[in-house]
Amino acid sequence: MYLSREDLAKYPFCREAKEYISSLGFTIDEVFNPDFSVILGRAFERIESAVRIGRVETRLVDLDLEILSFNIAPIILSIIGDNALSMRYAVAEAKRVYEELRVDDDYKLQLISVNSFNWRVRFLRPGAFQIFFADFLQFSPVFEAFNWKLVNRSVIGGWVYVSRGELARLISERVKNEIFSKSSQPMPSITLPSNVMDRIEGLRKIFSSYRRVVESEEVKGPMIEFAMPPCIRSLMNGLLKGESMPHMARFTLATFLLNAGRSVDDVVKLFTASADYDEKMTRYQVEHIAGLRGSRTKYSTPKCSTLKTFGLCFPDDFCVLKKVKHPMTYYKLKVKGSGGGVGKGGSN
Amino acid sequence: MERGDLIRKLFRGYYSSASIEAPNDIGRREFGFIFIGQEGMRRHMSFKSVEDLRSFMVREIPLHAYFSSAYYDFPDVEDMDGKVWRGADLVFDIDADHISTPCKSEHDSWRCIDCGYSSMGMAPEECPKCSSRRIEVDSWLCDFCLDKARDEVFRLVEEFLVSEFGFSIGSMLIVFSGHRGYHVHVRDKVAVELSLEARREITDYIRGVGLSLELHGFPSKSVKGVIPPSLSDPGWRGRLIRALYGFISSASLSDLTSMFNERVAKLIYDNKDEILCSLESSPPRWPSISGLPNYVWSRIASRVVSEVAVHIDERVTSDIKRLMRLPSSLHGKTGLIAKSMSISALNSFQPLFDASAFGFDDCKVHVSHMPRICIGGNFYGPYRNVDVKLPKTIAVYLICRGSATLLSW
Repeated sequence: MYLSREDLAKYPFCREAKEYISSLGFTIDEVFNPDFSVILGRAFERIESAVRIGRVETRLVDLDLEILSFNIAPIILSIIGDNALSMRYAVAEAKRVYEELRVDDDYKLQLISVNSFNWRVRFLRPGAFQIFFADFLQFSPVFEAFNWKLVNRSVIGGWVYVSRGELARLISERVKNEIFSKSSQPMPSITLPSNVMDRIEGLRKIFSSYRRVVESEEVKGPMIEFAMPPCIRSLMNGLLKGESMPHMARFTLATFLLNAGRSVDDVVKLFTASADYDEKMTRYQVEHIAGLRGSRTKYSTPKCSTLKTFGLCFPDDFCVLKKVKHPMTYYKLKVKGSGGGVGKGGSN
Repeated sequence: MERGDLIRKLFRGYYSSASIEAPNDIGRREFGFIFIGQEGMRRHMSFKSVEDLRSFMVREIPLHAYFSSAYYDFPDVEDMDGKVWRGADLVFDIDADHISTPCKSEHDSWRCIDCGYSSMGMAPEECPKCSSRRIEVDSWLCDFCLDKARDEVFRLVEEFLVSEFGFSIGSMLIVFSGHRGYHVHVRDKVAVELSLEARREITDYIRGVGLSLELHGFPSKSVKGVIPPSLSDPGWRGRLIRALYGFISSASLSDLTSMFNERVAKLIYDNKDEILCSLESSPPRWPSISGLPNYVWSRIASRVVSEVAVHIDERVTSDIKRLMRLPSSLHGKTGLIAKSMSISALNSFQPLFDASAFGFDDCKVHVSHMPRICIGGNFYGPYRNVDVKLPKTIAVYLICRGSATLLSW
């Protein structure tokens, strides 16, 4: 059993594809050589498609073109140096890989897992595998669904049962990570031909207009602004000004907003204003706080005394009058007083 | 003699002739120590060899000695990032404080620091009166509690780490903490390389956190017709169904009425044999007893999860830079030796005798307070403000925990 050249075009991240490329004797400097403009063009096309529709198509016409362009795209992305763009591309490629693998032959999934990632994977029966728990745990913790938690899997002698679809998901997550990390590596400074520069500029423009659309969307949700306690209001102002905030401040703000009924997406969007915003990290942390990850505990907002300890408490008259001990109590009392209803997840 | 000076003198006696056990790869471990009469911990220390470590201990006489579960390139650099982390043993802490034992209501007590409310027994996570989490615990050495902790170690090692995770017994070190529990260190390459996230998942697995009963074959209101687990199934599936089976076979009618209304409780109780039979059958099936709602099985299972999970301290296992007590050092709260052993030696391990540093000749102490405890097979106490003759190991324990002063050695 081996991977054909067509397989390498579908899965150009695998070890065999990389070996194939080095057998062609390719170097980075050559990438921008006019002789390779077709490959470069396809690489740009991959990224543009990821930006526009969030997907990349597998094309099995010119196999070398697919193998090479996939491996050149991260170089372009690292020149651009925009993590959000790199992530969007990585996600789109990972989706493509997942969809291919899901319906491909079992032996290919096993070959890729074992040869390219050094995972310990055993074929069990058609569509069913066992993967060594340590390899399973490399990526399973980032998946939200309960069936990805180890405690909900069958684990025997270190082996975890996975279906073909699940193994495909693990492989594609690994691919996503690899593309993203390659795309965020600093590039040696090389002089780029002007046509390449133009193309990069074009890509930047497309992506920034795409990003503006996302950012201009109003944060929805049943949040009632005037009921926000002063501590949260102050954190919110700091955030909107783009101030860098300590961990406790972010944690307090995120837990409050989530508990007041805002969605994970809304909270992540809000944090885009933060000085050191990193979408992947922010999303991860907000999801963790919302109880979608890790121990699945939904975190409560710290109480007033804790906020005091961290210097984040700025009581107003209402706090004093009502002897408020918890930011959520303040919010609920004010909402109740106004006759409005607290949205979903309003308990704390 | 001042208490601090006395403890130092006693500990010096031990360290002057003790053989100190160095952890593997000693040069890549961080060490930390707490000293009598000094605030905080002196950490970020490293030693090239066991001789260096030993001469430091003999010279400085620490009250507590710790080493990192982690391996670093530069263990003595103060900045944690500057140490350059290269992996960590997978460590587990099983402490009687986290396991409920009936004898706790006789010897342990707790007090809320904020409102002052206090009670005997196992400390709650938060004060039932004021919800404060600042709780002060007064816990004691106890044979029964330590036996219970030992049982948990066996289950952790044999059932979880070996059978389910596939670790070899040879890669594990069991350490009696010198107080109320045991530590398990797994040092194989797979374990050492696990990420923080992976360790959290392993922690949740062992504690049964995040279990979805539906995914393990239990019917719910929304999910019907699932294939039930079999009693011989491995992993959580089998563990849950065996626990359910055990619960039903031994449940009294009042056990059941504490969980269900009288009609349902009686249905389960009267149909015990049929229920057990259908769980034993091959392939197993969920009992179909008319009038019995199918959510009862999940409800029983959720109740028995805590009995079949292992009560490890989640903070220890999911920490990749934890400082662990150094085997062969003395525990400053008890004067007992943190004793390392293989799992085969654990069966015959007797904490008080095997971890004693001061022997069992009598000495005379003034005891301010001690509940009745059973340790090393003997009962001691209760004492309140009395002069008593006690075996030295017990006397040092009371002196270390501040419950006694020495009258004559």
